Amino acid sequence: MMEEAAVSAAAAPPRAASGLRGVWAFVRASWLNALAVAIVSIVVLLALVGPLLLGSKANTADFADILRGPSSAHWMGTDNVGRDLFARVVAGARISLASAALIVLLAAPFGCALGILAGTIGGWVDEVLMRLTDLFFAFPAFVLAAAIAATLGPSLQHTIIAVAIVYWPWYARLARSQVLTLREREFVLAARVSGSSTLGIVARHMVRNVLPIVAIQMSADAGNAILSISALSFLGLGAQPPTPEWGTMMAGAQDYLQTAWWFLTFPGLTLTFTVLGFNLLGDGLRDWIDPRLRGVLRGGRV
Amino acid sequence: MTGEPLLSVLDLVVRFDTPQGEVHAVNGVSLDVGAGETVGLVGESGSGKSVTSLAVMGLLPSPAGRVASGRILFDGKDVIGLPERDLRKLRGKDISMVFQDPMSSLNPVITIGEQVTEILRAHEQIGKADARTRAADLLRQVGIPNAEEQLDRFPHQFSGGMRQRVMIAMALALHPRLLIADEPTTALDVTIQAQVLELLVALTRDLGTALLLISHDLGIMARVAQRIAVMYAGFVMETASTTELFADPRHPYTVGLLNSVPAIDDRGKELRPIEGAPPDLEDAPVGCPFAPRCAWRVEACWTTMPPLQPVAGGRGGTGIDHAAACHNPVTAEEVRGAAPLRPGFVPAPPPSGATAAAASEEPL
Amino acid sequence: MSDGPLLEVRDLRVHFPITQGVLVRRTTGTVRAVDGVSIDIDKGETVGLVGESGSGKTTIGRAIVRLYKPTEGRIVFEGTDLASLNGSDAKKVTARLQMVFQDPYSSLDPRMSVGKCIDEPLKIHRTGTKAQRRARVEELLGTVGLPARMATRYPHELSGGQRQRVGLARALALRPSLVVADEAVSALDVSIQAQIINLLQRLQREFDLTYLFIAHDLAVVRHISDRIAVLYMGQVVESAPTDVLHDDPLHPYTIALLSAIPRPDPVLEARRKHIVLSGDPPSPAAPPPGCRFHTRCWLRQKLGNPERCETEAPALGSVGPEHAVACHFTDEVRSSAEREAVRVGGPHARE
Repeated sequence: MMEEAAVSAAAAPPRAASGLRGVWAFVRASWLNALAVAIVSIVVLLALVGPLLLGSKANTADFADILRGPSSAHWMGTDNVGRDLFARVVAGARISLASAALIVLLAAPFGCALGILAGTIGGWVDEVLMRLTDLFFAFPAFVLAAAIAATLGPSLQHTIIAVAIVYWPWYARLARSQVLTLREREFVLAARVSGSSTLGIVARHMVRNVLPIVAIQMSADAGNAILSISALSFLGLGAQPPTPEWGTMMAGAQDYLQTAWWFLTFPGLTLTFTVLGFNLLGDGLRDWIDPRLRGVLRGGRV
Repeated sequence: MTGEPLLSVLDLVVRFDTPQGEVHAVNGVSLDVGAGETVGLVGESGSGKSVTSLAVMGLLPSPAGRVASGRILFDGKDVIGLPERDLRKLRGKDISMVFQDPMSSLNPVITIGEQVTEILRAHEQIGKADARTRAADLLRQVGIPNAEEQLDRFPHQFSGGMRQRVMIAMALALHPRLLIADEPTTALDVTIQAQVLELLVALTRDLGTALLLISHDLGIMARVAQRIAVMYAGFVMETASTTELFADPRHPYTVGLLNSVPAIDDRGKELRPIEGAPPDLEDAPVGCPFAPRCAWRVEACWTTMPPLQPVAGGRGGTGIDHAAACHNPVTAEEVRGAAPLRPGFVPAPPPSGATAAAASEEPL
Repeated sequence: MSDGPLLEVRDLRVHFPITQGVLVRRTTGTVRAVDGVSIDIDKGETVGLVGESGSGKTTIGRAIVRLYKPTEGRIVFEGTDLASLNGSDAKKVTARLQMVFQDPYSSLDPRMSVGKCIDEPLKIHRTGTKAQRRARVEELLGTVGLPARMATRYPHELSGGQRQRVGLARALALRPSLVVADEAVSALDVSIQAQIINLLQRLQREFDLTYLFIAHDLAVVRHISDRIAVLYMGQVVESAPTDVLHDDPLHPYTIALLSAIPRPDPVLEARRKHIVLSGDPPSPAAPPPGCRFHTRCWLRQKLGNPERCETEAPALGSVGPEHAVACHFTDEVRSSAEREAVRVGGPHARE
């Protein structure tokens, strides 16, 4: 109804247009969106291109140049074994983004599949899944991830798995609640009247209607995943030195805070901005698709 | 109509700022409601009728919704631009509103009794016990049995019809001079609708409250309203006394609307719907918004919106002006049909090729 | 083709259990949504099902298209008992039983293009190659009055009327013989409603369709139906050919319904007496004993509250050719002034 639409359109933007036009409209909608896109683009660019250009500088130690401050030769200075910090930070970007991508791509499909299953079948399958996710939610996420990582043994791969394990219940819950809402919608009933099997309905209708909200959650989670990886690495449970992961670098830089502030600060700042960028992107996308989702999706949590 | 009208809306223009652009919800509406009068505002979705009522109450969602121009005079004073404090004093006491969905207008976690007494005590200095007695009286007045006990119940324990009665009780608690009812019965079953309508009519009559009734249902208007204004795409297209509007409509849209409703004696015959669809409110109106769908259109219709002017031969016997916003109104003989009866008359084509394409693209 | 009715509903009951509890579900009650309904629909006719909320009309429609399983009773379509079917047989038969839904804003998958939406039933039943299906989709779009290029649009780009047309096209894809229109025009604006009603009638003539038209708006139902069944609380209280129902209504509820509906005729409205029913409809989980309408019945009040209404449920009895009523006091209804006031042929009718 157009009249109600007019009144609520003030709060609800249209569905995102597809392709580049959509991206441009998204950017124009708010300066925060523009900022988010800018930050994420820069980070992605650095991650893709940086290591190619900077090559092995990230791992080249030069004991003559230990702990030099930022200069034209070393934009971010050097670390405690003389490696160029900028190169290492850039390399770290690649690691962080790849890790985040892996985490999200592990947790989301698995969680969604279970959630859709539970929502569609219902009954005891649903109950079991709900109690299982309750179990996971009972633990503080970070503590659980740390415990799993510690149990598996400190390494980047294990932290990725640990964080993915902590994230999947969210997707299960999200997908399930979407399915429960969709189940009674008339277009699903229409599909049943047309003769569709339950599997057909899931494949043809559920998945594509669950996807937008899941995609938003994934983009919001990317930032948090990066933070989680870095935090766990900082604690020594993730990437081990000499891997140029931001958290790992920051752990090693603690001792030098007084004497070489840049060593800790630059990786930290880069981490902050990256996470900020992804979080803004996640928020922006959520508001773009449907601002009524505010509060429904998980915001920033590690 | 004697004296100044209680409510006078003058050339009201309301816009909404949305990410897609400006929505032209109301485009110049003028409307009067006299003291104790029942006026119906009828229109389909997108006509701007609800937005008009929200503007009168100062309830437009802001900052997106704004009154771009025009005046709303209640008792001679302009309501637009009044500070919220003064608006609050008006609301409930002088102007009151009943909405379509009682469930979202009532606070689900507070008892009915508390909600009613809250209104009473917000505007009058009375003690809790007195307020409670008054509240029970009000519930009785709207036909809720066991009023005393019902005060302690929650909205979800009432049926839809009961909730709407409670809403009416709350709206009339302070004897407002004007009650605006926006689709008050649309969500109710037909038999409950009849109950609620009857209640509304009886109470407003007894209290001398003016009623501005907004609905898309012509039948309700026929039963309840003394005067009707027909809205389309943010404009008032026609106003007349109820009897005259149904007997002698002059605006092509009104004629089309009346012909769209299945009539008792027309069974089996095809309905004569208005072809096409309402315009997109995101486009600023150029000329008469009904032109693309109008069988009576002339060239001027594409370029200039006609002002609301008295119709020729309108029976002013009731003392109520019959006015239509039309360059080429329907004649008395043409009312029955869906098309002009003038030999050789062809609806004027749109001025430019682009508009023609737009008009014929999706005539549905 | 059998000579019998296209669709026979015999003593249909659909009950929904009310459950409580989280780990262990207990059934604490039953909602008797449909409680003993029998309807016959002949080929080519339009039967209207009228009732308010709680009447069970939507549930009946959904049971017929097999969205709900009947708790008791039989549904026989083209001579075959639907309950006896399973698997692929069921799929083939039920393809000929389709439904158009009420809400144009949720009856189409928002993430599916119009073309895909109409194609879905064809795909499910593997009707033809991709190219053949695409041609059929275009054909269907044309049938409902939409341009072929609509196929690539998405529902949110369409108006309510256009979406309903798409819903119709989807329902017609499998060439059904019976289409259940569940409040198919109720959510539309008046002027669009008229367009869709005309379309429905045209399609009926063109494709020899049979309709079960479910609605609460008696005026619309009257316009399109050959016969009407009036439902109250899960049971049929009166059924008759349309003209007969309006000229000779015999159940107090039918009369109250006719009286309650506002007619766009101020002179008539001012003149006629309106019956206002007292109280709210009872809960479908706890229907009143005896005649379910007795708690609100104006005739019963007029007659001094006879006990029979409370103790004995009236059976649906024939009072004329194809005219059946479930009431103990039909004669008293006939002679009442209230009935005179609503009869279409009566002195208070317009013209």
